[in-house]
Amino acid sequence: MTGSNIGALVIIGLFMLIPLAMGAIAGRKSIPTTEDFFVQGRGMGSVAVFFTVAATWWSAFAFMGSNAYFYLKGPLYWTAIAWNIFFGILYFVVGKRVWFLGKTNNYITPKDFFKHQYGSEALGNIIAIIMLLFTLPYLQIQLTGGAYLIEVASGGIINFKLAALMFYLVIIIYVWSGGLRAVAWTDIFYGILLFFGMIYGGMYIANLLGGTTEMFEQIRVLKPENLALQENAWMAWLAMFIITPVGSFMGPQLWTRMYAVKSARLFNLMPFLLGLAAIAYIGSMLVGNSAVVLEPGIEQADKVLPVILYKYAPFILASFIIACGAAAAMSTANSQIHSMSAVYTVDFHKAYINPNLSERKLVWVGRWCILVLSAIAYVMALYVPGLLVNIGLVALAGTAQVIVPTVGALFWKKSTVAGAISGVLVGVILLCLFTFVPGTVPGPFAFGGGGLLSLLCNIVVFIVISNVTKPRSKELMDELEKQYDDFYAKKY
Amino acid sequence: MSKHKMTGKTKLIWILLLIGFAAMEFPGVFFFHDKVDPYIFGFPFIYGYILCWWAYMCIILFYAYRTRWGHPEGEGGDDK
Repeated sequence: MTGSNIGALVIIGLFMLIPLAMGAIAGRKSIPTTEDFFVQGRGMGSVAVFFTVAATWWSAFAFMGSNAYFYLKGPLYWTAIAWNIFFGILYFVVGKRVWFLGKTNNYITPKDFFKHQYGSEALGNIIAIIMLLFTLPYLQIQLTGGAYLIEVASGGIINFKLAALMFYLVIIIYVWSGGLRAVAWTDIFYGILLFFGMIYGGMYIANLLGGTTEMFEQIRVLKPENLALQENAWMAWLAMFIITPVGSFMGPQLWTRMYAVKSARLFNLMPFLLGLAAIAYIGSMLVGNSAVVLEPGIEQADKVLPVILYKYAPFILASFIIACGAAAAMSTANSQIHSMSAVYTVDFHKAYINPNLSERKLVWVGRWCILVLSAIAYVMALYVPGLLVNIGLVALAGTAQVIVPTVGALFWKKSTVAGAISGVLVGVILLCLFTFVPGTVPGPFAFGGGGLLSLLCNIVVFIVISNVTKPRSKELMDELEKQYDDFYAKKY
Repeated sequence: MSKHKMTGKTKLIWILLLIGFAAMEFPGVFFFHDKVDPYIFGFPFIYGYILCWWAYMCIILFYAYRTRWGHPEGEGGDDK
């Protein structure tokens, strides 16, 4: 290990220690109740909400996977500009209603929403299981991305296994100490780093090649197919535009961020803020494309960012940006672990294993759950290979299935339990089939649209079955009707 | 469940947003996917084309926020 490698690791280590201190302070402010630990007592302010949503939304998938996609597939990932805006719109349209209903009915986990809105414990459990299962691979890619960064920064001396282990130990300490409050505080720190790190890093690397136009002219000579979308790429372009924001939005970590919001006003502003922040992808686009000229033979494309930075950027700048990458992965990972722990603790442990457990003891169950889920993701990172974006898309297509019963509950009176259950099950089964047996994806969907097709089938089954099965009870519908009247009467 | 009456301004905002999404997702991919020239802002066509629509969408979304998504003063998201 050279002096530079040691220096790089020290800088990354410092970036991990500062938020750790924030976590410790947040831990002192926390109250040992499940509502405070999991949804911060529904008192999260506007600045914290924006940064925690943005930092949770931008993950290793965005920071590292995007570079790899630009490097390998040209402009395909550029659909991310549109999906960021779409994500903001979802937060406004669906998020605001979920927030209101969460506040009115004291929901803590996503299951609470489905159990109450459909009057079905079984549906709630199925949704909770889908969320847990499909968030795990998304958690895995944060760990893998973070470990790649540490591995490259150390010049390969710290191997992948050890790097991943180090990465997770820090996350566990944060989340263990302060619950959602710690996560939100650290996300403000990460969010600022991310935005500037992504843009500045890309501009710096492109300038090494004489600026953006000159860089693209060199690609025109070396790899012209990287300047335009490939034939049939339209399906992947469209599928990513829908699946990525919907899947991420339906992840348990984003549900927690809907419930925790203090003021309704923020939901009106989020589409603009998230849309504006999408410009940060310009940095990934420039790094990924510059790498086509600078380093055309990188074997593990997900390492494009650290490889290029450590080779071509000044050491301090490279380490700073890599720390931002670690931040991207860590902020998403800590949010995911935290919310998954909430799902297990409240939905399963409290409901079925020990209903009489005190609030303080439930928080401890949540903490132990964090340890176990992290360990599972660590094992997956070691043994499940694949590009970060490809693994992420399968995970997101899984959680995206939940949007159908969610929108059904909010906007369609005829939605039924049978429709919701059969829809999500068909969607998930088809997604598994398309993932493990790719040859079964039919027609144009074979070009990156398997996840989208499974979602479309979910919608069709949901509508058809809901139309022919027993509606929700009149008492429940009357109760919900009053709450929706209240929502519209208050003109949120 | 939705009984909310949309104002004219709200409808306009949604129509403008739908136009933006449609322009970003459909014509760009179907008709311009293999176009590299002309460069826009120093980027190959598809990159510059999407950036133009991004700017358009940001303006609409900011307008939407300023007008409380088309609701009259004092409505549409004020703290209650």
